[in-house]
Amino acid sequence: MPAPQLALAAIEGAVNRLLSLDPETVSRLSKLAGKQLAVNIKELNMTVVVAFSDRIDLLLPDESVLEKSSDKQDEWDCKITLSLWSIKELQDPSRITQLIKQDKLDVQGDMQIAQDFSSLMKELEIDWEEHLSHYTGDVIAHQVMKTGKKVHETALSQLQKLGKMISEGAIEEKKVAAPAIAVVHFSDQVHQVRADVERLQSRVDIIAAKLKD
Amino acid sequence: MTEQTSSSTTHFGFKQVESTQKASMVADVFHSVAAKYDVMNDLMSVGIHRLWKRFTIDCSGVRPGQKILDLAGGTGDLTAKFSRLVGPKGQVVLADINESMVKVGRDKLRDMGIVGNVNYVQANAEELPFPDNHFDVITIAFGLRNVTDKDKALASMYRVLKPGGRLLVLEFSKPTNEQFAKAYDWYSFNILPKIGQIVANDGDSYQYLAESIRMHPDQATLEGMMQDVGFEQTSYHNLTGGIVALHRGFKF
Repeated sequence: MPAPQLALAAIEGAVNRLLSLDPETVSRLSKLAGKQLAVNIKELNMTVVVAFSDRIDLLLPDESVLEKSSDKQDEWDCKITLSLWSIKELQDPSRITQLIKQDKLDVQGDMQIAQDFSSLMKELEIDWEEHLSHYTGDVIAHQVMKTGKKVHETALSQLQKLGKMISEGAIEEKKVAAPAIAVVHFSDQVHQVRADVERLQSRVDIIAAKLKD
Repeated sequence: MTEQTSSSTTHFGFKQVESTQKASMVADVFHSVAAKYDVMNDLMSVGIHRLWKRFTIDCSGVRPGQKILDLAGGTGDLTAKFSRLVGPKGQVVLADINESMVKVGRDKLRDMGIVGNVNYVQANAEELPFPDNHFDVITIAFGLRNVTDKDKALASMYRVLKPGGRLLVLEFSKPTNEQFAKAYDWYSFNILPKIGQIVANDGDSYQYLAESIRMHPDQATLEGMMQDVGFEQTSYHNLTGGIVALHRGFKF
């Protein structure tokens, strides 16, 4: 069974289902219709193409397609090459220039397509209560959502409490972890040592060059 | 290699029939199964045929504005996706020799809202009614097996393909593992016709399906046939242990 196709079909189905739940999707997608965005993930050595129309199609081009496209700069409207580890950082648009400089992100073609796609997913506003009410009726849907929110908030607050308790226990009582301030101080010291070593290295290089002359 | 065993007879499943009769006999099979075609495909392959078709589209390298021929397009699974990928400036032609299949495909796609860049043509793969060098991509999924003269059909596809274009043939093939092949044979001849009888009320058509798969050329033979008519850089990719193979060839 072609497993990557199975995974992609599942993701494609889920994404389109989500998009269909927001009535604003149609107008947002129309801006992207006819465009193709290729996303290359370095660690997986894998390129996924997102093709936009009145919905989203995900393609997994095989080697022959990729070989052919490498000869043509304009094969995709936009191509992004990124590392798995930088995906989270991409959520902050102000980090993009820095990521490009650090070679963690490479963008070719029309960057606007990637930004529009990101907005499309971020700005999804789904009225879950409204959709649920089609199956259960308004009253039950309202109660379910109200209870769901309460459970979510309680779980979140309990998790925060638990996290705080574990963190205090590890730092203050068991002394198996360092407090945040100590970690920052240690990082500063490491940076200082690195800078000192680099300075020393340049001095040694200068002396070595003089001795050679 | 050609399917014709002598000048006047050919295979129809395991039977020998007059070459001139095969097209109408295959047509009868598909007239009979057209209405339940999608349900049966899902049942027989446990839905995996959708992944095989996805893989075919992944290998097509299709771009907006291109012209695609979905030959033996049946109920339009490939056409639906191609239509979105080529966009309003592109064109997809769903061609099938069988009128019932074209009708079912056209109704299904129109119900899905797929209109504008799709044309429907009832056409014989051996004598395609299109100009030379016309299409960027040609696909034939689970159709070549039923064609009487495969060499003629491949040559016809070569003629209508643009230089630089590619042909993708998705077809049942020979499983690569012997034990797996035995289990697959047992399933094909014992279970498959029964499912056909229960769901489509037509066991004979599905008996033909199983037989026609066994009579179809294996991976290497089909690749050779593609090369013989002029396709270059040919290759094939086995899917699900070789139950199905995707053959690919380019015209330069």
